[in-house]
Amino acid sequence: MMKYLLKPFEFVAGTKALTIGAVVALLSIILCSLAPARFDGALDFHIGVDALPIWKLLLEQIMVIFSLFISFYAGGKLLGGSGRAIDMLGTSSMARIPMLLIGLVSLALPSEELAELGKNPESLSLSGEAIVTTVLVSIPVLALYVYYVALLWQAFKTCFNLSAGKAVAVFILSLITAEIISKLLITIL
Amino acid sequence: MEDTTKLPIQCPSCREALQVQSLNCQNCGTEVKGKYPLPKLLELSADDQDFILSFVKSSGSLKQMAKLMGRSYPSVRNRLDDVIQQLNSLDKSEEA
Repeated sequence: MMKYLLKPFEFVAGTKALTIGAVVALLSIILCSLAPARFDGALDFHIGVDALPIWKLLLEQIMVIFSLFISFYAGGKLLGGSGRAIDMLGTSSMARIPMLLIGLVSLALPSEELAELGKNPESLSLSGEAIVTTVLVSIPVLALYVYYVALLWQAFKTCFNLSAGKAVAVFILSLITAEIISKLLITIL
Repeated sequence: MEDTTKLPIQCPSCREALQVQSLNCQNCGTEVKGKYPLPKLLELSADDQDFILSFVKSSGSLKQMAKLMGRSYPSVRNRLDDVIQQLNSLDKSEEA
């Protein structure tokens, strides 16, 4: 069971992973439209935001997945790897499962109070209950973020048959690039 | 009863590659002695040899192998790359 959780891409890649990634993206769009929330970057999730139309949420998902794919695919090719584009696309979209879980867990957050605090940080007007809830929710959220990055690393490593060393540096660079690209594309939207 | 003995390929004392020194005929008892290096394929581990056999039986289709092994395509591709790398390093050590 652990091998499927920690190294899923040794068993699933290509169009199968892309199908799972598409389902994850669809569920993320549904979550965002109900919450309301946004996955407005490769590493981002925000709750308590203004609701967006479904088509914008769909475009955001596409841009996030595209930015992850293009950054890691370019990074893998830079390292001389011979991975297939469909494998990188499929695995990077499937790797977003923890982000969907972050979205679900974050529904427990006091989003209205946090949104208000975001607008007026000087007010420091969080209730005791809100603080405790936020701290408790942060623990699984952080763990899921670590898992998300670990899955992206597994996807990158498996698709291009890489071991640590130079590949770690390229992975970090690709991740940052994916975040920048996704933010730029979503801003244009 | 199935023979489960494995052909040793490395010297247990100094880790150098072993060579074949004698072969015998189980039918008439003829024994042939000499110094014969192991074929390159036999210098690979048993797992790698099984992998190569599966690859040939799948007509070289990594997709089919992935299905049979219950693994993803890149995972099988990576295994093949590792075997190729091993064979290349065997070639290099032979030239040296």
